[in-house]
Amino acid sequence: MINNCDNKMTQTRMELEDGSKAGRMDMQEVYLGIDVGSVTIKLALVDPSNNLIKSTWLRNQGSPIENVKIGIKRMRDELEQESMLDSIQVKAVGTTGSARYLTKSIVGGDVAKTEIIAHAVAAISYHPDVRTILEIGGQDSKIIILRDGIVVDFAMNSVCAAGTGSFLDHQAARLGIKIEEFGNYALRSETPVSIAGRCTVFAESDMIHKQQMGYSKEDIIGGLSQSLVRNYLNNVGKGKDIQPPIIFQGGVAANSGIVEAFKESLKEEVTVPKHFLLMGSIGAAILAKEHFQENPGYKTNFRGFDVHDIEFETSTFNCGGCANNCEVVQVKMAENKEIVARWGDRCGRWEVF
Amino acid sequence: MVRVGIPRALLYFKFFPLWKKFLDELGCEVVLSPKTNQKILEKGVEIGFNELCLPIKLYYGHMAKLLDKYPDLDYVFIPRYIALDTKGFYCPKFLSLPDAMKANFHDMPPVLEWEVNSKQNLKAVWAIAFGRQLGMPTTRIMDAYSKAVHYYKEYHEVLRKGVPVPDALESVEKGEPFPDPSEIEEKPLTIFVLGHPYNTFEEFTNMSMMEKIQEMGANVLALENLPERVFEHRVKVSDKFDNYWGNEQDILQASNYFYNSGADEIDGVIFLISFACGPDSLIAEIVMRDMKDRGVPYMSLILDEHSGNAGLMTRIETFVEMIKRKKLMEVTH
Amino acid sequence: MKITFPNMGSAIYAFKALLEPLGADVVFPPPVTKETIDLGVKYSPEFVCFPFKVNVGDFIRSIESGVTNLITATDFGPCRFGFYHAIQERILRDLGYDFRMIALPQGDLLEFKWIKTLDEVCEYTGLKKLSAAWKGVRLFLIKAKLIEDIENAEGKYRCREVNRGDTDRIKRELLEKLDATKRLKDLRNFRNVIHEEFQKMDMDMSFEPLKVFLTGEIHVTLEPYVNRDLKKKLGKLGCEVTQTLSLHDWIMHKFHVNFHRKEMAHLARPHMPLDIGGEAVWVLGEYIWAATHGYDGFFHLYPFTCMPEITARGIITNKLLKEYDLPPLFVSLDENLAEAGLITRLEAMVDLMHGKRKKKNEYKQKLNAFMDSEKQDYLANQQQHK
Repeated sequence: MINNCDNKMTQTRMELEDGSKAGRMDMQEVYLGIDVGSVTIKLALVDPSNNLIKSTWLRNQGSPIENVKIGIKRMRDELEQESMLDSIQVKAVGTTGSARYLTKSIVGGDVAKTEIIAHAVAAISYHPDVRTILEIGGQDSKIIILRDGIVVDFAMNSVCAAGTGSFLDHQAARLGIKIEEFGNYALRSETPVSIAGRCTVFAESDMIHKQQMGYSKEDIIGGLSQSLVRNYLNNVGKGKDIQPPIIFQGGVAANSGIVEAFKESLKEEVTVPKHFLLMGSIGAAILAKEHFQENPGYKTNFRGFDVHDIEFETSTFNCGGCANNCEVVQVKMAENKEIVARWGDRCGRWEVF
Repeated sequence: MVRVGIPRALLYFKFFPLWKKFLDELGCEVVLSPKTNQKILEKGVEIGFNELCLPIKLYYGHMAKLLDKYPDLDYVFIPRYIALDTKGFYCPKFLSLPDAMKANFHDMPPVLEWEVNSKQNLKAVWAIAFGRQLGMPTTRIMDAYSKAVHYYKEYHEVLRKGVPVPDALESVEKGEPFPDPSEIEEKPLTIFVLGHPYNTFEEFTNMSMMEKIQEMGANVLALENLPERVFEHRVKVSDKFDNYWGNEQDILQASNYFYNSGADEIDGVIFLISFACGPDSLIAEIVMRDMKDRGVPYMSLILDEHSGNAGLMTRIETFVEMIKRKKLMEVTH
Repeated sequence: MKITFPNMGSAIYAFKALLEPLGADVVFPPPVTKETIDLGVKYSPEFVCFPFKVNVGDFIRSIESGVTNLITATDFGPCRFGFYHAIQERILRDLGYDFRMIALPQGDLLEFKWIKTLDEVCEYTGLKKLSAAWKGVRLFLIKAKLIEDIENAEGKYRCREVNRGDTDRIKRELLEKLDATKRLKDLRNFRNVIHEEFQKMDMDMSFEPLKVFLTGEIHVTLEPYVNRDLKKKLGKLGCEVTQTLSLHDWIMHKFHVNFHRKEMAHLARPHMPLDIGGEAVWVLGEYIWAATHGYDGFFHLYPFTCMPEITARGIITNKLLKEYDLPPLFVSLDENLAEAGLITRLEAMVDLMHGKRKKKNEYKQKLNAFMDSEKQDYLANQQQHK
């Protein structure tokens, strides 16, 4: 079965290379990737040779459905301004992130894959020789080990959220500095203090204690960066064979202090890719492309860039079928009451995706 | 009729057929706490403090539920498995399970303690000691015990034919004949799910991951479905040192089997571990290193009461996807 | 042949005495520091108990300093300790180190398996006669006992010291002196020396300390860096610390002649009828003993997620606390424990114990006053009758 599949893949790839040359004359084929993380939503449009054409990102506050719609509208507007909207054709849509299935139902996606795979695929396309990917996002952190362009091992944070973007945001706010300056503070630190802590709560209380003992902001932030990196390597990176080339992506990669701390403790060069924030969505787009190419004649489910005009109704009810009494959430189209998605039950009785 | 209550947790998933048949033959009525649900979990977490492992917390929850649901129980059945062979021990939390329960539930009905310590005596002797608590004559206990052992063997044979453990347990509970093994649809991937039965078959806390892996297009293999030859020889951790944990021996045996001869039979190993499980924290290290040496994809999943559905599913999906992609690459090159 | 072992507080002096007569060049392990712990945490399984990680750190630092013969104890009990050496060896081998790991079985010392290990050491050192081991064992037992005496005196006197640091200095000097004494006959008078040295210290004898009982898992209780110098902290907070747990206590137990432990196990019997590993059974016994012998508080130290100790903890909090009403403080130790939080908890506990003692004293006074008035009434009555 796999064999067949693969033959198809190579076949279509060849066809497409011919086809795309011809196709560029009128309509450019593009693939849309949406990464719905816990803190931000990232969208990326990618062409068949994996070049980023257009991207946008926004904070994910409140309802992800609304935010995804806003994101798509924003992208549409930008495309319209540059009068590109009519010259492109979305061939397939990939979703990833914690709300991948919901987003898939809302926008009409074609593939929903986990963010780990998406990140790996994106990193491989820009740096084919990558062997280690460090990824720290808003709420969770991951490590991906690759050999010869395939994922061989991975891990996600299990007990500790102390290394993630939200925590850094929170601590920066508490120390009264902007998150953008966080890295610079860390770099200025000469003798970083040591900060202990299994989870955010303990790390924070130890930090407050150190602050009250009169350490400078620089040294506290420097210490925090080091402790985050140490925590990451001891929890997520435990037992993983970290080998160069190493790529660091995800929102936290913007923080130069953390990047330096990684370089220091790994004693290796750590590369931050150009689109470090968008890697998830780029990966989703590439996965959509692969899906499209693997199935000749595939037609996308994408509802189009006008999806923001479609009204969705969200409601919840308690199932009551058993002692668990799960809270089931359902999303309907406002127009024809068609159920788009339903989830939240443990037994799978109501599930629609 | 004497009514005996058993919490549906911990070694229930391993020894229930034996207990049930034995108690049945002794003329007792066996009642169980209901299957784990949110309320039982919450209750267990409330009673047990946070450093305990999840299965023990669940045991607390089930015990509370059992006492609450059946206030008129004559006895509560609590096993104290100390050693199943002359070499080993169970984990300390099993050794002190009745003590921990008695310390917490102050007005419990009398406890029927099934103590098994093969270091000191034959299992049958312990069974007799157990039956005496019910005031039964020795001959009747012996008779009941031999029937129970026979039944337990049958149960294991059924499992080896591929009947899933939850189905088999259900038929035991209802007193029905064992179900026939259903036709297994051959899938290109086989994933071996390793772990204690109270983790792998506790569908509430592991989010029915066995089924979900099957839905993703992979066969799932559990310890209980492995052929008997896997478990013939004891496994040593190093050439000087033998493993002493009874409940880790079969995990090591399986890992050893896949390390030596069976590596081609599986495409990946998922080890389900409860947070704060002492034995697993070390055994997983051995399995991890073995699988790494052998080049078998390995992932450990830590279960605790906070483990969100999303995180668990993301990991499993990625793992299956990773193996699929790896296989695809292997075929291409 | 250079040989070393993992750290465990002052017990290292006893281990040295055991191995030296066998012709080994005994090197103390580098003291536990943050570096040790960082190394241990980095290379050990994430959820293993803390002593494992500290040992791994100790071993790595020893090997890197050039000592490649490591001797470590092993058990055959239900807790994780028995597995330590096997998995530690594998971890270190996978890291590419070249070393020799010698396991000293101490599950039941009356099985005399340890003689074989000592023989093995003799073989490596080239010493042909095992009879030297006899001297080693005797030195070991006596020194272990003397170390226990020093530690007990330390716990007793620190709260009364007038000049900060006297106790530490005397303890250090005594241990060095003990280490330098190599002959059995020179040790005969050592107990008195300990006593005299501590008597020379300036002490505030009118001070009434809180009496606290300290116990727990043996490694974390004996190794001061790991337990964040808890004993010292308690002393400074004005607590007289009783700690029966020591290496000597443990060894005697393993020789089946520790009658203190037998008594403790007897006390714990209604609540836990068998040894489940670690110190769980004795911790329960000691809790009951301390509660009935006028102690103000009970401190239980254990590594985070230690299987036997948390079972004991559960039984204390759920059952014994209600029966005996002795305030316990549980300290679960690992690399993530923040010292600030520990100090806060210790101080709060000390306040609580003071409050409780005050209440007890008030009650006593009231009772006495009541008894006095009753007595006077009685006497007055008697006089009237006359």
